[in-house]
Formats: sequence, C-alpha cells, structure tokens
Amino acid sequence: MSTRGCVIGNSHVAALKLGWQAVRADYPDIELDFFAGPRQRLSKTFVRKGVLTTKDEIVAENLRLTGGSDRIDLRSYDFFCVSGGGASSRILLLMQANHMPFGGPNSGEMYISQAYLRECYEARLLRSAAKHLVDLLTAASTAPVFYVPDPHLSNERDMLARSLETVLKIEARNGFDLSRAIFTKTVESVFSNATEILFQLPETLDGPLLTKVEFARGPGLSQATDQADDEPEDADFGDIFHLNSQYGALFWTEFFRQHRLNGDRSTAGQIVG
Amino acid sequence: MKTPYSDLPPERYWKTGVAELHPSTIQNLYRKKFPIAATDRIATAGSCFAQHVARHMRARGYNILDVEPPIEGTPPDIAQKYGYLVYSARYGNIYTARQLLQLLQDADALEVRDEDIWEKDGRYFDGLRPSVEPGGLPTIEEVKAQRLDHLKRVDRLMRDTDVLVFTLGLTEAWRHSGSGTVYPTCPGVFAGTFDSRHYEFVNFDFVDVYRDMKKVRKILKAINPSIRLLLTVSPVPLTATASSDHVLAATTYSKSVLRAVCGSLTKEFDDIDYFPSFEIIASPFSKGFFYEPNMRNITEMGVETVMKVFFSEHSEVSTPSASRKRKGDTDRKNVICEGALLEAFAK
Repeated sequence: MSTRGCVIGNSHVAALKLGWQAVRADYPDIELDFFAGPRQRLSKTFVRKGVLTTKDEIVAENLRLTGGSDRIDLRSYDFFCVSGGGASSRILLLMQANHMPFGGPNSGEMYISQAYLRECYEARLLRSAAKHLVDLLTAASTAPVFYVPDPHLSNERDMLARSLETVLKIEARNGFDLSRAIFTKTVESVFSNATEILFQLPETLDGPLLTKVEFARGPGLSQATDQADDEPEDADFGDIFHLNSQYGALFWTEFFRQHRLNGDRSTAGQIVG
Repeated sequence: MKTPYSDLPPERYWKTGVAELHPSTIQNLYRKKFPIAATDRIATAGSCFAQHVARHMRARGYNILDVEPPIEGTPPDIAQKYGYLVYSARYGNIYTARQLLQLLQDADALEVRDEDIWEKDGRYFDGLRPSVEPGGLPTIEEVKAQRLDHLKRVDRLMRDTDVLVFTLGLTEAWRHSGSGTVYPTCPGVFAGTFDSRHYEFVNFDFVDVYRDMKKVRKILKAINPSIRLLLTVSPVPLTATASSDHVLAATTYSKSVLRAVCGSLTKEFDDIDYFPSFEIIASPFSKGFFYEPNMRNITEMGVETVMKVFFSEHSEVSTPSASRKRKGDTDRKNVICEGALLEAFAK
C-alpha cells in the first residue's frame, strides 16, 4: 500500500516538486500531490467537511493549475507538508533595515530591543499563509503536518536584489547569529502545533542565515514588483528559490530517510534506523 | 447707563455661554492665537490626554512628526506596548513641566545618568521612560545606548518642529534627592526600588512650573527660533496623591497650578497658545458628562467634543492621506497611562 502526501504552500513548493521528480523513482511506494498559490494567497482557504477549498476564484485557479483541483480532500492523505508561505528569514532581516538591536556598529539605525523585534516578527508569522495552513490542517486531520520554512536568501550578491543593502549592513554589524536565533525561536513557537518543523538542511547553508548559491539558483529572481490591492503587505517578493531541483531532491531524500509515514501523527517523527 | 458688561456676546455670560447649553454644543470657547498650517511640522508630548490630541490631529491630516517610528508593519498594539506611535518620539508620558525641561536639557547635553537606570529581576529599565520597554533590557549598556539614541532624536525633533503641542498633566513627582532628576513614575512601580534615602516626593507650585516652562521655551527658542507652543492641561484627575491631601483636593491644586501657568505664559508670549480642553471636560458645566463611570477616564464623546472645538478654529487639513486612518494609528482604548498601573495595585 502506498503512502500519500500533500505538499502545499507558496512558490517554494516548485523546488520541492522538481526535486521530487528527480528522486521519485527511488520511492515507488510514495505518492505526492503538490498545490501552490503565490505569496500569501492560500490564506484565503478553508476546510469544510474534510475538504480544503476556497471561495476566491484566483486561488481556486492557482490550486487547479498546480494540483489539478481546487478541492483537496484531506482524508486521502497520510501526511502533509506545508512549504514556505511566510516564515521567511528575509522578512526578519528587512525589519532591521532601519532599526537594529544593540551591538555592533550603528550607521544611524534606531536601536530596538530584541524583545520588540521578536514580537514584530512573531506577529508577521501569525498572520502568514503558512500559519493559516498549518492551523487548518492540524485541526482538520490526524495525519502528520510538517512545516518547511521559506528558504534563506542566497549568498550570491547578484541574487539578493532589494535585500542586498540590508543584508550587507547586518553582516557588517554583528553577523547573522542573533537573527538566526530569533528566526529559529519564533518559528518554533508559532508553528509549535506542527508535527515537526523541518528547518533548512545544513548542507545547503552558508553561515547561519544564507543559502549556498548552488541551492538557490533557479530561473532567477521573481520579478513581482507591484502588489495587487488584496495581497497582504508581507507578500514575499524577490523569491529566489522557486525552481531549484537540487534543493528539492536533497530535501526529499533526507525527509524519507528520517520519517516513517503511516498516517499516524503520533509516530510520524520517528527516525528510521 | 452702559457698563462694560452691556452688549457682550453670549459666550461672555454664564447663562447664555454655559448654563443654557448642552456640554457638547459649547461655542466660541477658544480663539486661536496663531494658525497651524498643513505644512507645519507638529510634535506632541505630555500626559495621557495628549495621546488623544495627537491621534485626532493625525487623523485629520496634520503633519505630526515621528522621529522614532516602529518597524514598518508593526501591529498597533505591539507598537504601543513598546512606546511607538504614541507621541512624536518614544519618550512615554511626560507629566510635569520639570520632566519636559529635563528631557530638553538631557537632549542638549546628551547626558545619561547612572542613577536613572533601574533594575528589576535582572533586567534594566530607563527610569525616565520605564514603560517603553516593558520587559526591560538585558544590560545597562543597552539602556544607555537606547537612551542616547533617543536623546539625539529628541534634539532633532525639537529643531525641526514648527509647533509643539504639550499637555501638562501633574505637579506631583518623585525626585532623585542627589541629582534632582524627576521621574514619570514612582521608583518601584515599574522597576527600580523605592528607597526614601534616595527619592523624595515633590509637589511643584506655580512658581516652579512657570519657571520650568519659561526655561523650556528659552531652550526651544535657542535651537529653533520660530517654534510655537500650544499648551493644554490634562483633565484626567490624579490616580493617587502622595501629598497629605485628599486626592480630590490634590487634583484641584495640581490642575489649578497648571492652568494658571498656562494663562500667564499665554499672556506673556505671542508664540504660546492655550487650548481649553481642561475646561470642556472638567468644569462644572459639563456635569461630569465626559467622564467614564470611574470619573477619571475621558469618554470618546468628551474627546470628540474637545477636538470639535479645536478644529472649529484650526480647520481640518485636507490632504490625500487625511481621510485614511494612518497605519498603526492608536486606538483610544489603548491610551497608555501609567496611572492605570497604580490603580491596579491600589488596595
């Protein structure tokens, strides 16, 4: 009997889908479906009678385009994987563009406390599509719900785009250790209802909070520069991770190495030999 | 025979100016001394009631400065919790004239005194604005760095401001007996430890407040010759008094002193105006109509009435953003008042 998983989230799902195509032959008993909506759009979903759906025609179209249906029957899955959708370290870094926690050289930024920065970041995560989806799925299903935060920014300057200036400033100021600590702690706290939070694999990282370029290269930057009125303010522009199959393949290999999935949330975290 | 009281307009007689009117319909109570233009940069500071004034002016499109804005997108409740979006800088409530004077002097000298840093449970607080970091900060150095940064921004604010709107709230304060520094709260309430060997109660009189406000004006004029001041007196009574008087008598004393100082300053200086929000809310003619049942908090109708009188003289500014509520605008129910804390601890 095969194990069936549902992968849902924002544009970062694309990397997981491409990665899965690269490794699926190694997992004949696993079947995965992928659903995605750009940025924060999947906030406009709800569950009725075990089916995740939407009343928003654009979101419905997104779901149909990516997963073949705008109605996801949650009862037919043994596990869920929510990918991206708002737990982005980039947001945390950009919060420090004009404000900085104490420590390191200050080039005119306003000092803020770590407590305040953390609360601001937490508030953003609490209203993210990712949180919405994890809450929906954990309430509606007994199957394990894994959460995969948005990947970190690339370490290649050309790909940092609008984030470059801030990233360089933070790097020069005090490095990324503090931001990494706030990121990890906040994500753990906000998504504590998920079965497990699958943080970015160490082999894809360059330092605490950047991604090695080979795991970030895809089609280039998302060129979204304007925001539809109905998009949340934290819509994730400048994504760089949409189509990196290398990242996706590594993710799935590690995922299935570590998890035995039988549809039971209580044993989902077991590490296999 | 004609007397000076003959043929006066209706508002000069108690009967037609007050007694025959509903409190929300009072007219001609205030005549502006100088206009406030859409282009004027306005700074706000003072006691709790000043938060209402700032909120309404901002909502009507006035150019309210903010030199310490929150991180973009911060939800208003979190911003307020940390002292953002409350006034034009993150100084918290400034209840006394001495506190304002002290802030300007500190901003000029960039001075941070060791005794103003308070400790509680291993965390450190800026005793001059203890509420802006509710959980305190981990080190004394961080408190000092934040305060210095704040003082630099206050200095810039006062240099850039065209009109400072300041609401005087109290005459009572707690003072460090060594340095003479006064604090917005009694040491030990938010943080720190109350020690009668180091802290003393002070109740400023007319001469103290008058002199302090004249010094405030002098400092401001020295760095910003064209600045104007719009003063108000908070109608919010004292939560508690540390004097030996009944709290009602203490409130009356405090507000009377502040109101009298405003009167004197307004008479003396062309660049100081007084707006009678205190009279609208607290005088007998309003019969307590604008107070919540606790006879302390001001109802929204009270605030609206005050602002209606204000805007009858200072017409609303029309800008594209005026009709939109500014992101993060504070809500009246969230007005930050340390007095509430005292009340919560009252037996």
